[in-house]
Amino acid sequence: MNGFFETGAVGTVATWLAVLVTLCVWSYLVGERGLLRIAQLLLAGLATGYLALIAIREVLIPQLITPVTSSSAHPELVIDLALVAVLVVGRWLPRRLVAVPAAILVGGTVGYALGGAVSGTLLPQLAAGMIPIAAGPGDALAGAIGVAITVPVMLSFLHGVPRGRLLSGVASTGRWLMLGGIGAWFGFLLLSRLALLVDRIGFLLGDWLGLLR
Amino acid sequence: MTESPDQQEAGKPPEPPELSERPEQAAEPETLEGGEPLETSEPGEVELADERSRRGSRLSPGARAGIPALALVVLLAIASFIPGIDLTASGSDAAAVRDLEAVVTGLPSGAPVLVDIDGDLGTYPEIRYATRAALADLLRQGANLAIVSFSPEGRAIAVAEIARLRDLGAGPGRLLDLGFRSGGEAALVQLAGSGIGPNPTGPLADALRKGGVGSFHLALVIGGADIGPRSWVEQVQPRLPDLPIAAITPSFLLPEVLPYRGSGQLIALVGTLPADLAYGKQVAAKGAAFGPGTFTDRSPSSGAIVFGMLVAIAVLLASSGGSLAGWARSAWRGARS
Repeated sequence: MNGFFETGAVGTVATWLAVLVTLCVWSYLVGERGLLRIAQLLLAGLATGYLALIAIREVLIPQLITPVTSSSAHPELVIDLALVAVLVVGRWLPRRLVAVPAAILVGGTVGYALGGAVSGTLLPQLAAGMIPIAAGPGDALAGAIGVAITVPVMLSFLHGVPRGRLLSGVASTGRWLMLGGIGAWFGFLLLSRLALLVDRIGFLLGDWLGLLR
Repeated sequence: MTESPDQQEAGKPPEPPELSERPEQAAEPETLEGGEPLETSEPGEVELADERSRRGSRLSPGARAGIPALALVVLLAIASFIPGIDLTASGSDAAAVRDLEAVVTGLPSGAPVLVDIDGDLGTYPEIRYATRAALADLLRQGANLAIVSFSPEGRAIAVAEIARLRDLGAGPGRLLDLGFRSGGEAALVQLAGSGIGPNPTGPLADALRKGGVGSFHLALVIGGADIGPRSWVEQVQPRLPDLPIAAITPSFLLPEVLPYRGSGQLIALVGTLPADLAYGKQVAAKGAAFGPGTFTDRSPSSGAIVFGMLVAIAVLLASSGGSLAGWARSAWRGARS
């Protein structure tokens, strides 16, 4: 079903392994926790090993170690190496020293995210939210509903100022609308998980038992 | 959500929780518009509240909880009569499929396409079918694919998909592995600014280095992990406004990325299982190689879908059966008394 497994003996072994792990996880439905625990530990161990391998093979060696040790080394990479080293052994170093690479890391991440959010999301979405007058009644209504939802939700984040009865009511409506949005998101999440269940059942009945081919 | 005892006594609809409200604000008395504090502890007020409580308690808590859902249904029913608003899922799914098909069909033969595979291992099975259909459709159209990942999980999926495509006969002239780029959004910015970099080798890599990152005709983003369509729209689009971005995402990401499709920042977006299936069938009808096995073999079978739904319903009933039975029992007793 998923097409990742080969057709030979390797594929057979991989299919059986996947079946066993799937059944280990599902054993929780009948109250068996030991098998689920084994599956969880297996996942955690494999994920950690994989991440370590990715970090070493695809990041540290090609992007840091090799350029630093090569003849045409870039001097700025030595500073990068020092910052990484400070972060790695930061537990045993003074807090003020560790704060420098940590601040660069956090500041850089926030800078990219904030700049992108403003230029890529906020401004274009504001522009898209402005409905031209010549648009049809459906677009106009959709725009009006959008404004009627956005304004109360934004006002619900208004804290620290005295709020009158009207403002409190609008803010309360905004919180309810936000909860409605979260509920809708939860519905999408449920749908997504249901699709995964379908995939697993398809795998068991199709790839393993051959009933759905 | 549960009502507090005070709210139940007052018979008022429950107030939604304050989000990130300061703790000290809860202790401050509520004020009217003129800054006059509300008096809530007067005996007359208590009697008034009791009266309101008696009036409000005509509706059972279950009925009151159903009011928002009923209001939503009524609103949707009204909206369905308004021209220009398409609420049917099949309509939006068909439009999504049409969009992606049109984008791929519009590519010239030999056009380089940047494919970002950043699915999440937990949700990738939902979009695997559509992803493979899109890759097959792009190769059938004659596009050259450069595959990159910005998350470790996406890299794992990309490695498997690249191996599968190579088995199908996609050579180094058609398929380029740009590898894993660390740094999240910073790496996206670097790709948009500096191109593919010096490490990739092969005829396709040489052509892309020569033409620059602007030579890509399309960016196809397979979402699910931290880096997804939103990151591309926020970090790449402002820097490369001429690069069209299409996306395939799991359905749980739709609330986040649908506004980008609405604003035109994404030129195509496939994000639900029905749309995935419909798109895959369209590609299969064109005779695209999809292997291993035929295209139909790789699609989620209807038997599995029905069986999965039944299992989900059974699990839901089993988990909430006790509380449902208790609710029905109390409702029956209330009706009898």
